[in-house]
Amino acid sequence: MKMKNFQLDQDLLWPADALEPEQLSENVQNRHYGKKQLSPGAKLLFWALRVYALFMLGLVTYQAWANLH
Amino acid sequence: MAVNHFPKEINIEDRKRAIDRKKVQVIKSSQRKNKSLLLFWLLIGPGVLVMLGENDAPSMLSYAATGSTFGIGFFIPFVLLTFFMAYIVQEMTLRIGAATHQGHAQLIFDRFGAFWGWFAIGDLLLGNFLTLVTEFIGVRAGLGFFNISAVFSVILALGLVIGVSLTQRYWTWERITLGLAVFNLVFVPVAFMTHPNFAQTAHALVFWNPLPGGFSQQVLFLMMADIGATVTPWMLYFHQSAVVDKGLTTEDIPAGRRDIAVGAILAAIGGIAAIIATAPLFARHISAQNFAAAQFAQALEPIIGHWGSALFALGIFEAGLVAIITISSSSGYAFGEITAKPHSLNQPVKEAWPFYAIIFASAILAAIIVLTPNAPLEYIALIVNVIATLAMPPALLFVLLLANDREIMKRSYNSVITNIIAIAIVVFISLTGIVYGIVTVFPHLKL
Repeated sequence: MKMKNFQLDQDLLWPADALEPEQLSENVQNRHYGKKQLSPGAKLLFWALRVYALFMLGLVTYQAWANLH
Repeated sequence: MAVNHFPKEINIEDRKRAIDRKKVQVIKSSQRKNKSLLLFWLLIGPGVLVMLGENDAPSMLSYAATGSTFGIGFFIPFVLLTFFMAYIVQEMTLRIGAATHQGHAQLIFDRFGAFWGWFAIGDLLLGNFLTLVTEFIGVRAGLGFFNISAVFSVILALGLVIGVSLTQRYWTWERITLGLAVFNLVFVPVAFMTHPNFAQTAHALVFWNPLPGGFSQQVLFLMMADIGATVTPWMLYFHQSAVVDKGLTTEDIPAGRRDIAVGAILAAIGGIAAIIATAPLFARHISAQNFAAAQFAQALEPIIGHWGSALFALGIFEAGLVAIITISSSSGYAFGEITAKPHSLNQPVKEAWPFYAIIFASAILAAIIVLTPNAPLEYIALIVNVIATLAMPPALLFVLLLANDREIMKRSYNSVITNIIAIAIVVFISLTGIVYGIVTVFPHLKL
């Protein structure tokens, strides 16, 4: 996109002019929010959905294998 | 917790992103008449790409199988419903990306730990690999219609994917991919060539019928395939990383929502057009249940002529190509995020070579599988969307918890209404999977 009277590359002396400090790649890389404490309900849900996904994946794989043989 | 300071050296990635952001700021503060249009042009991208990227080869194949098996009826409004679900899910990832400026994989590892993180990454990488294989099947089948050899088709697609990534500039990569993605709409003229019955289509949209043969295991399979054609784990990772790479902030959330909505509308039009285009096969009782992409085009030739079927084949090629670009990028982003290596399309290859290596290696590996003789490609193409649907509930739980995490989301956390709709989506997708599991284990059970 052309913009009159504005030489972006030259006028932009420092990325902080246009980026939020949190956006700077060095800060993104070094920022760690830390582990969140999961409630027992959330943990149960995680396990339930994980078991569901693995069981169903096994089922689909079995069906694929059965169809191929 | 947060370590924010101004680095001593100017990073090339930051500089490129800052140039893109400065353009947005200049337009925002200007008094130009076409200000809204310019801002729309500058801020559109991740949402359209994620939606049209998901209208990929297996998705278009699922829609074609749907149209040829059930005609125009229940599935047209159902596809609209799936795109509504996709909008809700992607809107959450937009907010998470804009509020945290971190990728999805990085946040999952940070907030839920490596144990759950590796499960999530396992789902992503398995799904991505199988999907990439099916994209190359689409590329091969699409160009196969024009008598182009499988090897040449695959090499051409690989060359384009590598070439686009080597621009080493997010903005250029995004614009080229957007340009390619728009060709997903070639299914619209194909649909018109079949002279669809508009009254019947309107009736189907309002009344969700007919559903010939009633509710069956096959309906369930296609429902799952069509859900998997609109909401899949790679979309979450790609969209959030692209939002971060583009440099969107919380101020851009309304523009990001428009971006997703435009993408959802375009993708829904493409999907419904594919159903309408293949519906004549159902009307003529042509069994197309196990058709591959090129066979759909060939079967349609007596109905819509050579140019129409050529457009259909070209559409399948384009669908595969755009998805290879976006899906392989999602693998690269996720790898870079969890290994804390540079991971941006604004980075030069020598600075971020592991990121680019994953993008190229995942595409090359899938290409090799597709060229391997006797690989069960057609079955992979049909089950890949089903697998994506099954992997979605755990992935959605991560999104829901992150979008409600006030510590990282600040003021952009989920509203009560979004939570109710999102929970309903998780329950709906999980229940569809459970019913599918039951009828698979007990095939003689009447639905």
